[in-house]
Amino acid sequence: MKILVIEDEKLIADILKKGLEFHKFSVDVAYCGCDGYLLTQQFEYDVVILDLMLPDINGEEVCRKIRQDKNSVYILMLTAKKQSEDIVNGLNYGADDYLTKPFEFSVLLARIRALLRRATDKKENILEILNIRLFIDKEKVEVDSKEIELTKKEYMILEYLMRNKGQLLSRNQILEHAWDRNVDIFSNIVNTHIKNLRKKIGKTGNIIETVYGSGYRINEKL
Amino acid sequence: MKLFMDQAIGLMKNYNLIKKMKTRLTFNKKITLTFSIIIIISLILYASLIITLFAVNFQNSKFMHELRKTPGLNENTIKSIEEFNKMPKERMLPPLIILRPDVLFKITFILSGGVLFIILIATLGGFIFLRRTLKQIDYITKNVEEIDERKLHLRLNIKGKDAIAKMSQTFDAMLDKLEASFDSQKLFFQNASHELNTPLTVIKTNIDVLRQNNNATKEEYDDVINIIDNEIKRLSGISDSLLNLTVNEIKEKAKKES
Repeated sequence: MKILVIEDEKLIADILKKGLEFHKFSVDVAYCGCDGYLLTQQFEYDVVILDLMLPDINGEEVCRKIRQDKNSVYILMLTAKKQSEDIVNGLNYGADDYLTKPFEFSVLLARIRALLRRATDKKENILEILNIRLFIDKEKVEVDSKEIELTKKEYMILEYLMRNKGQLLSRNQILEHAWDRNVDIFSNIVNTHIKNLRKKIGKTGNIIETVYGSGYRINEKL
Repeated sequence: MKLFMDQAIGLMKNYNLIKKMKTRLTFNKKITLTFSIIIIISLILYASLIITLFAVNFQNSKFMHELRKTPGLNENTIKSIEEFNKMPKERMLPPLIILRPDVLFKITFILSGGVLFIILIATLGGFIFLRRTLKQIDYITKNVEEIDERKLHLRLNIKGKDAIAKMSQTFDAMLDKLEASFDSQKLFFQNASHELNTPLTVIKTNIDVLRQNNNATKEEYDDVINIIDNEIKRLSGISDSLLNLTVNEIKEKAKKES
């Protein structure tokens, strides 16, 4: 899942990136409001973590602009403003959640996952297709109730595919969701990871269907 | 002795009653009372004057009657007195201030009536004016009572150029200044809180992320320790500058006072 962090304090932004990447998210960082807004126009993010006090345009403005673009990305405001009127304002500007600094990292993580859960019909922390079960909160994958070892990128690709099961996802989309924006979009790195994924899943690995010339999708009927 | 005690207690009770009465009377009622007392006293004075005049007149006519009955008194004397009484006003020359009783009566009546009229008008006018002023003061008091640190945006908004309007305008101006200073203080605290929060967040998040990573290397630990060290330095810098700010403020105050 792809997250954009808009935060002017470099140390906070960096530790957020580090912590979230450790928990198998791909993270882009913008150090000012303008950059952040432009990134939301260029890429398809799942969650935007937005600071309110930014040096160029403030967070509320960024939030308003994102919503003006009819972009329904989940916005989590992360700010030092603790007064209830600030929270009300933030949510009214179109944010989905509000967290005040300093915060517990596990709380932030849980809230991001809660936001992502809203996108799916199932309100559970488990994605299940045939004998493959992906535990979102524990960040592990079981096949036939046995845990399999996946690399970070393999896990991220599998999560993205399973969340959008039945949908055709292009290589670029997968690249964008599992890597940050510094990735070389012409590499065939996705193919290698998919191959490895299929091998690790075993018998049911071929539910990841290759659509030639377009990309991949999860097809339960195969 | 017992009697004396009883008296003393009675006096105390009376005193308390008077005190209660005093506190019970509002300023507004006091003014009404004062003005009605003035009106009553002037009416009583006027009435007593009229009664006196009637009495004098009555005595005068009685005296004339008795005079006529007196034997041996010269007819001419009586006639001259009566003539004097019936003398037309035109013939009374100003330097000769010998007034006939009925003229004196009329003049006194008119004069005292005029004075009474003026007193009544002045009292009534004063009363109405005072009541109006008091009403404005009441309005100001009520509105000012409502204003506290959360409702500093409220204003009296009384237009005009009289003393009370000017007073309320001054009060509004004072509220403007107060509100501005409150706002700037609020902003300052917000900024200070933000400044303090940033390093705290950095420290907290670094520790949280490190804790969740069970396979953290020594380098990663060192990185986090370095970051925390730097942030603590930043925090103590902020606390120093806050302290300096207050110290400078105190110094400036002392300078101004001296």
